[in-house]
Amino acid sequence: MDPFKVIIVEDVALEMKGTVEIFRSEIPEAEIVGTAMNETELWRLMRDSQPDMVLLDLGLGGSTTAGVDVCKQLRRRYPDVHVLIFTGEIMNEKLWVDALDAGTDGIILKSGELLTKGDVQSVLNGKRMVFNQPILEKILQRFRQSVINESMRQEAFLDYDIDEYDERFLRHLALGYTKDMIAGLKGMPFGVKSIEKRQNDLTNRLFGEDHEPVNATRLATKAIELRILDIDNLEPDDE
Amino acid sequence: MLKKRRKRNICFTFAHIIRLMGTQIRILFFIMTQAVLLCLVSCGEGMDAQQREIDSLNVLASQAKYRSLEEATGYVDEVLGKYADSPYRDGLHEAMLNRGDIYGMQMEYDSAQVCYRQVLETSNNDLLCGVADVDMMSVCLMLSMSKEFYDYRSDAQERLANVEEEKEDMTEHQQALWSAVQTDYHMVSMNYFIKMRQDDGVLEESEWLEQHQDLFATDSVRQSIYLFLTSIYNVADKKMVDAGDEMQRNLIRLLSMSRQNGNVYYEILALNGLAKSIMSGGELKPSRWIFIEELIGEFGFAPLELKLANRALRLAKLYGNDFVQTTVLVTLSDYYLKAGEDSLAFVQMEDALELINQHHQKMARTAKRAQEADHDVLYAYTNTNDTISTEMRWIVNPQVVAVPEWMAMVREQLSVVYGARGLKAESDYNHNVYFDILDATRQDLRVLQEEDNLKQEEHTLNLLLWVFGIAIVVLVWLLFLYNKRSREEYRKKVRMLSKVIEVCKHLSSALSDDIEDEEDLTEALHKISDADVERLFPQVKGKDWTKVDYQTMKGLDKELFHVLLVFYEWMRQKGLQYIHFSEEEQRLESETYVFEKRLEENKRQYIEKLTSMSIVNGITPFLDRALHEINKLKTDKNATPETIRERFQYLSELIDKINEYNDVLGHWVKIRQGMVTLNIENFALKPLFEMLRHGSKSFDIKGVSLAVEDTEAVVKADKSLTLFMMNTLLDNARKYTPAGGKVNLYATETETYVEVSVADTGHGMSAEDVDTLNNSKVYDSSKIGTDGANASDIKQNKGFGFGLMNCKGIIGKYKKTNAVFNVCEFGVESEVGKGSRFFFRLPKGVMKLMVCLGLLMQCMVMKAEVHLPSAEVYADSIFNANVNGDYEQAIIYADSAIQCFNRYYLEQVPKGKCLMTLEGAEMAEIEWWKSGMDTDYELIIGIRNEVAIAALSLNRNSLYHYNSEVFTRLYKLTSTDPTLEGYCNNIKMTNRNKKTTAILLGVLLFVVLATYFFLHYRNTQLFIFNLRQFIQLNNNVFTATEQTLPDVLHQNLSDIKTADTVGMMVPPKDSSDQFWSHFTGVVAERNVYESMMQSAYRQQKEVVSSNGRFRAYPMFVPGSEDKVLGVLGVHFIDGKLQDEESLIINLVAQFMSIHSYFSYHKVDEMSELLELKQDERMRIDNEQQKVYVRNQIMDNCLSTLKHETMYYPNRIKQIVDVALADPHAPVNEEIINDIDELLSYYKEVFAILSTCAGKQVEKVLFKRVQLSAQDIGEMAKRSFKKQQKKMQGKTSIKVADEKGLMIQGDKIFIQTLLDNIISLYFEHQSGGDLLLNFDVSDGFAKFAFTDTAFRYDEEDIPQLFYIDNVKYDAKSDTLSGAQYMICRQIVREHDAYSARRGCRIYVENNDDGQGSSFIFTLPVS
Repeated sequence: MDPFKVIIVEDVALEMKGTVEIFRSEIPEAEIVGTAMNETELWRLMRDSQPDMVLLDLGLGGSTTAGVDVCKQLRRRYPDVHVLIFTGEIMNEKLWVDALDAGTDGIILKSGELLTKGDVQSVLNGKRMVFNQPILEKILQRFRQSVINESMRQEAFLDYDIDEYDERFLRHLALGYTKDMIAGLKGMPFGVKSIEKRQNDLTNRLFGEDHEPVNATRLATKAIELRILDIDNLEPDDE
Repeated sequence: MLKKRRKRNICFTFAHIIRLMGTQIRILFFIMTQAVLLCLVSCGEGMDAQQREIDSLNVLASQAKYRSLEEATGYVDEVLGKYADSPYRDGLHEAMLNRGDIYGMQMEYDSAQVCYRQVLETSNNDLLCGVADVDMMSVCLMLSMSKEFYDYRSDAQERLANVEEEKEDMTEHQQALWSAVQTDYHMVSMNYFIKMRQDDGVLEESEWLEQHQDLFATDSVRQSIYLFLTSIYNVADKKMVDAGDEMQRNLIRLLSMSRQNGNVYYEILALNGLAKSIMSGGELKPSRWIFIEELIGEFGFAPLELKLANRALRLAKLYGNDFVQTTVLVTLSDYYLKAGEDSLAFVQMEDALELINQHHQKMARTAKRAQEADHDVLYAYTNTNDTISTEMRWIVNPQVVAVPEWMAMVREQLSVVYGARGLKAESDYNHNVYFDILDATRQDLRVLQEEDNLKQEEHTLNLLLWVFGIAIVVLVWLLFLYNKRSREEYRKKVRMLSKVIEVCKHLSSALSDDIEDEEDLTEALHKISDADVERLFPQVKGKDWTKVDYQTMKGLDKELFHVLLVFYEWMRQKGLQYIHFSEEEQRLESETYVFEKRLEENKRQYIEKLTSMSIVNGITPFLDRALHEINKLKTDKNATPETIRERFQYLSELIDKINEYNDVLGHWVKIRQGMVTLNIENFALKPLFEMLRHGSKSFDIKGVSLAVEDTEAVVKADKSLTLFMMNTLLDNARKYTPAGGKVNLYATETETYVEVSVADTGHGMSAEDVDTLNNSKVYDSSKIGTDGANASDIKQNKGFGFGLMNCKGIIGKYKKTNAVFNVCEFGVESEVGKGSRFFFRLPKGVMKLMVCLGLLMQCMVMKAEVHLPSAEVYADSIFNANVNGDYEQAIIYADSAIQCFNRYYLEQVPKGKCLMTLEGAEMAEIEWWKSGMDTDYELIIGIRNEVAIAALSLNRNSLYHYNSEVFTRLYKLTSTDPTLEGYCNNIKMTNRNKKTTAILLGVLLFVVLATYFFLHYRNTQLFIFNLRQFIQLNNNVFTATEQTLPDVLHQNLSDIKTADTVGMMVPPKDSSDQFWSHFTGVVAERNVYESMMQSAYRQQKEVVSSNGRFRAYPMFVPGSEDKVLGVLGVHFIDGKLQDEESLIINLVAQFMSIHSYFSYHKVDEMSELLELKQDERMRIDNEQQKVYVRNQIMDNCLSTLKHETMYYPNRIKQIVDVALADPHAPVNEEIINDIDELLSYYKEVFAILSTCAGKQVEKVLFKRVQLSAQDIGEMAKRSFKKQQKKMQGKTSIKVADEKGLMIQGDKIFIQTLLDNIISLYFEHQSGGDLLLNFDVSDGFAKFAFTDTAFRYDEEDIPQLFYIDNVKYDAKSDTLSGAQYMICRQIVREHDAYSARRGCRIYVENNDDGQGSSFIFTLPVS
């Protein structure tokens, strides 16, 4: 690993101490060109020195999330400097996304292994999306869930014998299209009557033969419940 | 000629009318005659004998009058003398007629006429009057009064025609009389025509008599007359072959008959006639000769004619009829002339003349003109120069009853006799006199009479025409006046009515939102209406018009005033309703306000909890770093002792920091604990159970059945938390009970506590789990239940699992609050496979009020069974109170009695709305009676009467009027006789008959006038009637519901104008809705009506169908001309509406709008408003409760966290310190493992609790609203003022002007932020002013609070917003610097819930060296 310059931004002194120690003991290649406990100090340091990387805590000064804004500004003003977020916001997933949107190279949670040499190395090598174990676990969890949903969707397609037209019909129904509009979709080979028949047929499949009267809304909702429709990707056909 | 015809036409028309009326009169007379007859019959049997006697005497008299006048006079005198007082007037009248006949025979014609006229005037018997008329005819015949003859003849004709119609009911005597009079009439007529030589008339009468011989077949007198007349006639009729012979035969028959019957009169006539016949050269057959001689019993050689004449003269002298005697004398004179004995002939005539003179003198004497009589003597010849003879003077003089024929006969004979004797002058004289007399009694009398009649008619007609003319002029004038007046009246009425409606509209506008109570309402209503009402009804000036009795007014005023009164009362009722509404609204608003304040407070606490959570979150990184260090110590085998020592040193510092933070947290929790108090109250569990039962849907979906058992338990606890606990337990039960299972919620009561249990038939838990749940304060809930067979199932359902922990925490909190809550307990009973029961115990509460209410209701129920008898008791009490003069008490008793009746009514008609009142506008009992309800009306009548008496004594007018009105009405209702109507109708009929008769009596003008008045009256009455209907309608409508309204309208409108159907249409409330309409009955053309109503709605004006039958009236919102509430549609049977009907129906529509608006729309609006307010109140309440529960739970978690984790850091600290104390650092693995174990466990507990607390934060409480900088400035000022009072400082706040700057944020949070900043300012007590400036940069609004004097220590500034800055001051038991933390937390919240990150909060000393600024930024909206 090549020597590199780093600026540590941390608003809690005791934590700063620990972080500095981590660098000293585990990442000796790093030259700490400065530590900043607030924004003013950071911008002064940025002006005075040319760091390769800024290790940024999200809480700064009074604000607990100012780091997001700071990250954004760093990205704008110093596009070559790597920014790694190092934060104790272990529960706040929304904040992580905000930080990623702000252009950070990675997020390291102050939990578990804390900052490792490998992570820092990755960032310096230009790798994006560098996360430590706890955050990866969270990401994996979410990923798993979405994959499960996807597979449930496939299952549902098989279980209820849903074809391409069924899916399109249900999706546009959920989007509030009328039957006329659906019949008029590009590549939809059915008239309104057929569509109505298809709707009845679908209703019977989804609700079983003995069901109470079901309107279009309930049908669409049921389709979402059964994962036939992906509620996160509910978009009309490209016309 | 033309003129005459026209007159005749008019005459005909008039006569036609008269005839039409005549029929009526006849009917009337018929009725009267019947009545008289009835009276006669009813006079009894005793009367009959007398009547018969009189009748027979009359018959005798009438028979005797031709035989002997003395005898006849005897009979007549007997009747008139003996029976003068007899009620049998007809008999007396008949006698009177006979007397007249006798006078006539004696030639006392004036006396005869007096007799006949008397009968004509006094008798109403048509028959007798007819007889009198006929008698008068014969008198007129004798006196040669042709005109009068015809008059009497036409009268007789009419009378006889009348009698003809009624001849069926005649007595025998009357029938005889009837036959006689008919015969007489025709005979007299015939005689007249014979005398007047009118052959046509004679022939007509003769034929009639011939055809009706049966009428006088048994009547010898009339037979005789018939014969005589026929004989005279036959002589006259030249067509007869042997007229003389026929006449002789008739005369002989007459002679023999009259001799047989003793009819001297006709015997004389027969003798004389025969003598004349013989003298005139009629050959007498020898057989007849002998027969006549035998008849008269005179044989000898004297010529037969002389014998006959002498005998006639003898008989005539005896009989006493001078005329007949004269006739005989003339015959004798003729005989002597023929015999050449002129002097004898002259002697005869002198005798005749003497007879006349004697008669004249006798008449004159009776008429007391004796002197004149002495000079008025007829002489056979007077040589005077008088141009006018004495006879003519007599004839012309109306005072003298002269018989011209008689004198003419004598003069004629005298002239013949003188002529025979050759005395020309004497003969001429007599001849002239004779001609004069003839001329005076000319023959062309029919023409004469006709002309006379015509003249009479013309006169009458002229008179009538005049009357008509005047009547028409008067009528036209009256009609003109009437029209003018009625138009004026009508205009006046319309003006009045529209003014009244105007007042009503004003009244309706009085209901504003400012009215708070009844007094205000009355005042407002009066204020708006008094002046108008006084202008309309000057008689109420100076009085409270609403208290004026409308009955005291008259005519239109009365009705209109009544309209006003009814409307006023209704408006007042509505007003009271609205007051009630607004009171309710205010109550809701104040409740909402309370909840809002609570919510605000809860949110403030929430933000504090959040802040303390941030402390907890602040600890986590330290813990993680500590764990990291330990990890390094464990894994880094190559670490130098130096490094190890450094690590231990760092570890020590971390633990110190953790302890420090824990300390702050501990103090924070402790200090703030007092702020989060439990809301303890007594409450029934029932409503909560009900609420939970409603939530059973989520159970249904899962296929689990939820049973909530009823409970009456009352507990003492925190309601919101109790609900939260039950909800938590039920949620758990639902989650862990598989489909088909059961969950049961119930409460059991013991002496001291109420145990609420949630039992399920789920998988159950192992004993270990149960033990953990029951005994551990902190546990990893994710592990509970995962060791059983259904582990995977449970894991899938697993929530975050803090529910039970929270429940336990709450129970723990109760226990800490007060000894009363020592009974509180939370527990679990469970066995694997058998389900679980979770329960908690709460102390028993008491609901004192509830118990009282229950008892009260029971009492009421008991009373309800006995209300009618108790009403009776009250009635007695009222009576006694009145007797004793205790009137107030009587009224109180009456009120109680009325309540009894009402209760009885409600029992009969549940939810009935007609309730009796002591006083008011409605009369419930009348409605009861009408609806056929069974109650004791007699008793009610009695009570009303007594109340009226009492009210009268107390001078309470309205009470009196109401009660007496109810009394009267109910009394009349209960005493109605169903036959009364029939009777009234009869009376009416009779009256109408009378009126018709009166009209028929011919007062045409009166008819016209009556019609005029009737029309006028009808118009007024119709108007008033319609008004009454209108008022009735109002009354009915006021009690109708929206559904029944069209029916009520239909019923009442039909009284004004018959309608098929009445419909109402209401426009849609929003665009997606449709018009709503309702029609009465079956409507065939509903679509047509609806479309017309819709067009009326759109055009905002009345729409009328082409045939005028269907009319749609738009109903405007009161006080506006362009807002239509709905449409009233009416289909009339008759499309033509009178002006006043149209007006009234228009008014109905107008009133309907006012009514609908206030009854439905306004009420709907207000109900909707109330509902919204109620919902809003509920929402706020729910929200504040949720925040409250959340705060409580967070508080619990933090408190537990503090207690449970206090031990670990200290223990670790001890170990680390020991390790560090050794300078050689004999750090072994054992120590590191110990620390690792402790730290790991600590971290675990910490994580559980902080996650639990953190869960409560996840639900967003942030309420993002738009706020202007100016708003925030105002908020700051208010806060400043509030805190300034506390501090009593003299400083001020200045807010910079900033318009248009808008930010988004949570108002309560911002308020809290400002409060904290300002509290810091006051804490500093720098003496400087506070300035608030705004700035905007990069999408953030910057708020800078500048303390113009205070400056921070530069070193402190970076640390201000950190936990490190929070210091516990043991002396004041406060935490300094906490405000900064709270402020930071609030800004963080805004940062998180606005669309963008980057809100700042910081403090800086001003560059100019003057003071410092507290700055925060918020996202611009």
